[in-house]
Amino acid sequence: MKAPLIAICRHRLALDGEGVVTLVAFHGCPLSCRYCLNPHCREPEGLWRRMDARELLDAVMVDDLYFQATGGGVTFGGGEPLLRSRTIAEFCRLCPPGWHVGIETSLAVPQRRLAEVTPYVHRFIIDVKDMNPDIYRRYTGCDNSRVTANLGWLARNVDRSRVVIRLPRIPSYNTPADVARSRRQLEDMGFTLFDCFDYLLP
Amino acid sequence: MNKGKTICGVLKTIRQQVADANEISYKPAECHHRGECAGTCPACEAEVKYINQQLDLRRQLGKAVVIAGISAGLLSAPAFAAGQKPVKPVPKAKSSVKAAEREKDALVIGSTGAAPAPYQVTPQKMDTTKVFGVVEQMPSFPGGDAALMEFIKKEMVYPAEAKRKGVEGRVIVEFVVERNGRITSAKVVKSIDPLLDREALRIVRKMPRWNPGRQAGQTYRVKYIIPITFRL
Repeated sequence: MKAPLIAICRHRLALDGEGVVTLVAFHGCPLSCRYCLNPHCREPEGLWRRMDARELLDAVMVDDLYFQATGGGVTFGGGEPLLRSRTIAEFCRLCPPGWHVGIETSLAVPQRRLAEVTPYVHRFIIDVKDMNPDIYRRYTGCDNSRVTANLGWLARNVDRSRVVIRLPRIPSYNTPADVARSRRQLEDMGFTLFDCFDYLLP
Repeated sequence: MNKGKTICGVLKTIRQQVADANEISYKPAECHHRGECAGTCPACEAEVKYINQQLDLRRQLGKAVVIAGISAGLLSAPAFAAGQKPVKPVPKAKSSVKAAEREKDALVIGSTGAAPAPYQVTPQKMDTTKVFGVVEQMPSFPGGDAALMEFIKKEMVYPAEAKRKGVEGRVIVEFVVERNGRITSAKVVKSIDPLLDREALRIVRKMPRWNPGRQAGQTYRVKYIIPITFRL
């Protein structure tokens, strides 16, 4: 099955983890975030091309030497990469074992999609927005019950040192106190790695 | 040095390290390209191909080949203290991702004017009022990283009160490099102490105009982050 892409971005240094990383960004996202920097990932004209797992592997294989030498690899983003969990899992089964695989996800997807890629992913970067359901709904237009359930599943099934949680301060939507509340809730779930930052608006 | 040239330099070092570890005769070709660079080009890709061929040859001869982790640590960020080489400023990862996606700068390689690389896409016209995380040619301090480091070192006035209290550490400052190179929206994103934060912001606001970020020749507003280390 061919998955829709918006970009493949090579030679990302120290942005998505250790080593040289290629970002594979998928088209499509279940959320409608108010400050999304890439609303095109939800629009037909944002589609760049479609590739299946083998084609994707061929496209990124050109940097195998760099990945192996630096402990780098591929990070899947988007859009929401877990909407393409089957392609990602197949890609991971095909790719050289030395590659480091990361995924940047909102977790706003059915749990089976998360479970499908979990055996292959070395690093999860979770963009939770805010744990407060009302704030989340206002900011994304969606309910966060799936996100919360998936975080619980991750906490139970994955070594938490593989999970980094992004906690943004979102102007007009949450406050530093909200961010602190989200963090406490996540710490109670057992997560320890957080990336706290402010959204910078033009 | 623009971002592409920096990437090119890192990749060249990796190639050299892999070649040396496997006793492959390799001397990177001197690059005479001036101007924008996407980090790799057909000449660089040909060097990778050559090293891969040499590695395959060694495997066929039953020789041990060493690649894994040869350059591990090459990209670890060192501390940015006065008198040390600064950490390459890195924008927020998520923003970078999104900006890169928006720009559709997928696999944009071969900017030396040679034949287009596979999957190269024509950059779309982007909104010049928006702030981006990553563009082809990132903004740069006039004179490069070394000059930036020198500027910070020269401008830094360690707050007396902080000195007395023995406060030291690294303040991370985020700002926007406008299309005309001016620095705006400077703010501390990782604080150490209000006194040091204030001094870090003062230094950033005093910086001269930067070379603005560019994509396909067009200037854009770009977010940037630098660490400023206070050490007693």
